[in-house]
Amino acid sequence: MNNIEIKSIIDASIDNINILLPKKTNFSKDRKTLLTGSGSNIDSTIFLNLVLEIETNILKETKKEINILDILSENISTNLKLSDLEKIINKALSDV
Amino acid sequence: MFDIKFITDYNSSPLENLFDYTFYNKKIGVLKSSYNQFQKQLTTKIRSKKKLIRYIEIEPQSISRVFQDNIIYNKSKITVIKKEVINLINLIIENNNNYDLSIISLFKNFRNHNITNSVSYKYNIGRKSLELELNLILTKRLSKFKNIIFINPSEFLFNTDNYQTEKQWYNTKSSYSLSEFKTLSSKIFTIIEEFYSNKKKLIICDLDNTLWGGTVGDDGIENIVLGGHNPKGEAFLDLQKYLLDLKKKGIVLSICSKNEHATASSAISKHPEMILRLKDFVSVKINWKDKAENIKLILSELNLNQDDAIFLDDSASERARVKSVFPKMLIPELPENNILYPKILRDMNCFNFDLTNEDKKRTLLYKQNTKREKDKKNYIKSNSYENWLSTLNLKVHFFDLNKINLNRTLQLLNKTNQMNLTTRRYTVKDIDPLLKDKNTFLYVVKVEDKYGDYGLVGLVFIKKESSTIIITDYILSCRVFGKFIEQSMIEFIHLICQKNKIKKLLAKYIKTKKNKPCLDFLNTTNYFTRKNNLFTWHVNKKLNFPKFIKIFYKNKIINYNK
Repeated sequence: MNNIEIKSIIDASIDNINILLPKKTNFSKDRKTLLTGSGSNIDSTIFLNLVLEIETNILKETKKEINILDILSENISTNLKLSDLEKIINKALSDV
Repeated sequence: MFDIKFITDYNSSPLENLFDYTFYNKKIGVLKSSYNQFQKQLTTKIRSKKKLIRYIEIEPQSISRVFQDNIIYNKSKITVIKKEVINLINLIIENNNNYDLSIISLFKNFRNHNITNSVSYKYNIGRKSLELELNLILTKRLSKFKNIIFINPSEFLFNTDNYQTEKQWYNTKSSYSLSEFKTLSSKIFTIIEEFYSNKKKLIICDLDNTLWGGTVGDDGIENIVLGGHNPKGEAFLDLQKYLLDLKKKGIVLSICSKNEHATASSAISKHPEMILRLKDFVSVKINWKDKAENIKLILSELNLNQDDAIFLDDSASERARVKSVFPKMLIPELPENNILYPKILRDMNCFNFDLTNEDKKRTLLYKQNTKREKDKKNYIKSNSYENWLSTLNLKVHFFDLNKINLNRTLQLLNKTNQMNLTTRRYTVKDIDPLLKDKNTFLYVVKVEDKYGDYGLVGLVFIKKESSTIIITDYILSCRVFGKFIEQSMIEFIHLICQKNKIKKLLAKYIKTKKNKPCLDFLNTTNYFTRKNNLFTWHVNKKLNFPKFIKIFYKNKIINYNK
């Protein structure tokens, strides 16, 4: 799976979550968006829901199961950006 | 206008984030909750100028170790669990007055607490059986509270063993997936909408392709689609059955149809499968006139407003026409497929089933009134209105306010606008101290005549202060306005004053936008002298009360001279 495909899975997952959220709390697809840490406006449970949505969609598309939450909990980053998450997913998929 | 608080045993922050609704043009505010603090939140009193709503979802495993640590139970364990659940219920009750509305989730035990095995539903053993029992305790103890509504999320959340939601529970301590939270929040909002919306009292039905399939004028009575071994026919039959059920619960039915009166009435009276008959409809308008015009007449006959009514019609153009005249009327978009009609009606949770005796008898009352009005029209052609009243054999009954008539009294106190001296609105809580006060007397008024019983239509609350009686509340339903019942209510107070050697009677009128009729009554009778809005009456002053009305107190006549 190439980077473009992973990017489109992340974007599609963001779209799926945004359908449910009120407009003011929608996720931005801007890769600089801060997902965690004090500067982030994103509710932690909603962020976790996004991660779960991405995991589910990756499984659907690639038949590969990755556990992003485990990776995140092992490499705790206080200021995680969407671009960082994308890198973590890329790496996890290449390791499977 | 509204604030909502989510009191749950899971992390409710997704619910708080997703709850984004506007009601009466104002956004419903969300009060933030802390995770795992539900006991504290249940008992904390919140001060707010807005109406407070709470959603409570707490499972037995969060309040009972015995429940959590076991898969099967015995009687002693069940006793302990029940006690703990009752403690939770008491906490809910303790702070219930702080909230305008409490929406309470039934116990459901799904996700990681859902244990199903061969004995799950065995009485006194299994967890599912216990869950049913605990729900019964919950609903039994809380049903008496009018501001409590139950919700069962397992009815609409089916995705119980999904990998994603299990993972979510262990990571976020949230019971549901985001999409389930969205569904739940929308259901909660629907309950709020229904609770605060005007409840419907009247259903106005079209006939062809609404109550039956086909056009009776073209197809003939024998060929309309109703019942039989026909899917559409059965759907129409179910619709009629549901309408009849609603009628039995006090919702008034009426017909508005463009048809030949004789043909359509004959179909209603003679078709063998017809569930609804003409007697079930309080007003029948079958003619070729504009439907909006007919509906205007129906509303005026029944003294109802457009937002009290629902209009059912298969024709989109008729619906649009009626909507253009009555924008506040509930007019559901009926699909082309008639099979969906019964479901659409069943799903409309806009009826008030918490009805008083007067509400339940509404169809009968309207029918009696139609006959009364018809006779009146004929009589007063050659006689005076007062003469006509004297033929009615009017009886006004006074009773003490008690638990049986309390609901209807509250309805009158909170809904009557015109003949209302002060327009003070009351809750049960406000009535309690009045009932205990030795110097306050609370009377309710029932009226009957030769046509039938009008039901409980008025009330008089008075307070004794040394040698004076003050009328604190004086209310009469517009149903009996102008029949001299107003005067009879004063006559009743006059009799009380005489009996108790009271010399002075006071009534303080508080002006509102709608209670001018009450002021007009006080001004036009010769009973009172007026100074600003204070009306005074010296009891020894001789007065003329209507001679044709008999007054009863606790079923005994008290104005013997009549």
